[in-house]
Amino acid sequence: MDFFIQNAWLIPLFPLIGFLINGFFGSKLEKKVSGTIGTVAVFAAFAWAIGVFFEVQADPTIHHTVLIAPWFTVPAAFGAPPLTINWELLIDPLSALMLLIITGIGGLIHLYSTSYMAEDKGYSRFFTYLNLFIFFMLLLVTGNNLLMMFVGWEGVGLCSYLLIGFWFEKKSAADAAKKAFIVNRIGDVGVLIAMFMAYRYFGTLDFYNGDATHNDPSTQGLLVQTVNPYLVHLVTSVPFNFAVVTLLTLMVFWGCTGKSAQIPLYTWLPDAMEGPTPVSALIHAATMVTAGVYLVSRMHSIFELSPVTMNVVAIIGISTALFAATIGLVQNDIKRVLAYSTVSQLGYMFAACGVGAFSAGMFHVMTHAFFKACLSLGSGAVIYAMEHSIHHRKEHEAAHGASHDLNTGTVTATADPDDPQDMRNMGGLKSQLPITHATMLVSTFAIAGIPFFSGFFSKDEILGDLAGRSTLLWLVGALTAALTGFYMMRLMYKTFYGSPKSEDAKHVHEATPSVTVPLTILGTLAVIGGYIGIPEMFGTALPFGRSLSHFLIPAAGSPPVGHAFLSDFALLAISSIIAITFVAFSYYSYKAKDGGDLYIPAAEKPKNFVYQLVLNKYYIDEVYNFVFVAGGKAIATFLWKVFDVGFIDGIVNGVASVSRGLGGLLRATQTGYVRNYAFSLLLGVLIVVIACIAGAHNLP
Amino acid sequence: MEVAAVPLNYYLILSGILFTIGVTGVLIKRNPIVIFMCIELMLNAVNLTFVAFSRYHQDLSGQLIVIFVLAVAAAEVSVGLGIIVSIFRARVSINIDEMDVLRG
Repeated sequence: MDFFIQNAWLIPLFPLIGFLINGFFGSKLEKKVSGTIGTVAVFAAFAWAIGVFFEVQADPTIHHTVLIAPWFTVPAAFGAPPLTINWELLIDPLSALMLLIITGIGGLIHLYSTSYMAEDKGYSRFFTYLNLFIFFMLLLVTGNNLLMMFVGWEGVGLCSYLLIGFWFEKKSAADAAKKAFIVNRIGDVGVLIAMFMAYRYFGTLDFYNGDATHNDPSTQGLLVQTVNPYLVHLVTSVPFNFAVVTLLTLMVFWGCTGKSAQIPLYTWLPDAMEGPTPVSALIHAATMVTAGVYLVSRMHSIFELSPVTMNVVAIIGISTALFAATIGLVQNDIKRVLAYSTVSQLGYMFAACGVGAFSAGMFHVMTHAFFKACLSLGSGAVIYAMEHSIHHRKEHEAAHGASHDLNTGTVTATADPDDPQDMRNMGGLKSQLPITHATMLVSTFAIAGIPFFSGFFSKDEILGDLAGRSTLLWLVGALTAALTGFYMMRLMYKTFYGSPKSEDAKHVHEATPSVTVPLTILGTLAVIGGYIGIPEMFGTALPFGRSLSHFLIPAAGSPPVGHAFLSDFALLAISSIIAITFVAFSYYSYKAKDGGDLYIPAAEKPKNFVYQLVLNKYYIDEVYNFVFVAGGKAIATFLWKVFDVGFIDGIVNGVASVSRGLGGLLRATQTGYVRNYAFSLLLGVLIVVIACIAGAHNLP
Repeated sequence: MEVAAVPLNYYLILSGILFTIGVTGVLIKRNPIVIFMCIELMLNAVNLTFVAFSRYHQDLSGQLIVIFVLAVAAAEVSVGLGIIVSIFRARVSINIDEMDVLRG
């Protein structure tokens, strides 16, 4: 019956095979072949994931576990029960949905990459990394225990590092890769601690244990999917257990702030845009960064046991949403705007989780994957076109030896005319890039929450749940939605409308079908993807109203029941009005200035304190550098100059000095004169003789 | 015919005196030739003891050992003189006070 589910191990296997082939033989294969292998591997996994999805949909309440192989067992010790860890897949609505998103979006991005990376010399290396990433990501979302999840978690971190630093000859890319890796490691410590705590206090790392022999509530552990009344009792009745659960979930969330780029560990994501654009789309917009939301939803039954953690999640989430949106308002690099919008949207998802609306969070994960992948790939198409145009101009100018470096990362007051990512060089691209423009426009409508596009439904669900919890949360959320509409339309206007701001912008050309086809598919999904989760007020007339939430209930829990200050319909109307107003406001404001500077003339920008503050991302990077990097260096210098030189070396040298002093004393006896040795020989003989005589006469 | 034997103690005292003279010579003399002579004195003091005891106990093995000692002493002197000649060739001096290369 569940043929696809029982063989779900095939899903991660396909990309693994692709990775192995491309990894070992990629350099010998033709570009076409290695690109095809990589793409087909992911689409094969997608096909299988569809089968799994329909089997799960037949009865979403069943948690299927698929044992692949036993891993290891920790014997019982110190009163803790034995711990068995298996390579085991957990297939339930949550993982089925994630499988579809990862393989579906991933496949489209692979297809896009075959064209986008066509001229890159690291072509097969790129597909090797992409396949490896997909493999680890699938492991992450299907693992039935925290450890297996963690293997995937670390694996995607590794791939993220490799792919951000894909163009490692470029120092900014290598630096960004290191930054992403290190910041993620800081978060991963939290997940590790959470695993230790889960083992120590609950004796299990399993998410779901369907084994009947383990149904004893004391050994079943806390990580099970369904809330165990025994454990609820255990936690609510003993304050110590409550503290344990709170700390454990906070540690998990700490890991999520790293992986999913939330305050305070979000700083790596904007820099991660140094990687090739398909990577930005796949890893840093659509899939990997949602791993944190997935993990929180996966462990929702524990998170819900600690209101403290839930409040932290909600507050961090909504603060990140607002904070990142304000930075997105002034960035000039097209990919950086998208990066901050990703951080901001992830904030929404965590805010939803924080108020208990895990299924709404996952819904937004899905719609966000559609429209953000589309936007990222669209921006890639724009950059690709601009790059070619700039390249042609340079060849034309025959500027021999002129370097072709992508000067990103730095914040400049005026645009570098050779920077293909700077929106101040663009404008008026609409006529040359019609498909890119159309798909990005609908995705912009989706992310802004214009009614009846996909993002509208998911964002409305989140805003509704936020309002049910606290009016303040809703207000911040609505404000963020307004800012989102504004900066996304700003991006669109500066890129596609108005007059071209450079000669290069006039000579761009649309890319090949392998770029435009994924864009079109994603754009379509960005329009219609929301209809599987539309609100009940419309859904009663349709067969699939709120169907996603219902589908996810067994895995992600029921949506919270709150009492908002307004009716659902009024909230819906308000958020629609906000979205439309701000998108339109942005459009007409920029139209009036032909896509130029809106409020502050370029000449005054360096002097405007607020503008500089936001443009430089509130100097958070500088603060981190000062406090952590410089602080770390200061501590290391102290340990080196004072502790190591003074203390450690002091001990070693001290031991040496004492030995040398003693040796110096003893050395006086070694005169080298034969007679002195003969004399000591004589003394020795005398002593022995006297001792013998004394012994013979029983003298004392 | 019975000749009044010299008592054993006399031999032993003489031997002790000879040995002490030898030791003193080894310790205080600077000329290696004299030191060798002193060593011979010590050896022969011991030899005297062996012979005395041999006679006293009416046991020939003591005299046997004396022959061994004489043979070994001859070998030792030849080796020692060889060393001294080598040192002289290297240093043009055989002053024992200058031989201190083993000093620590």
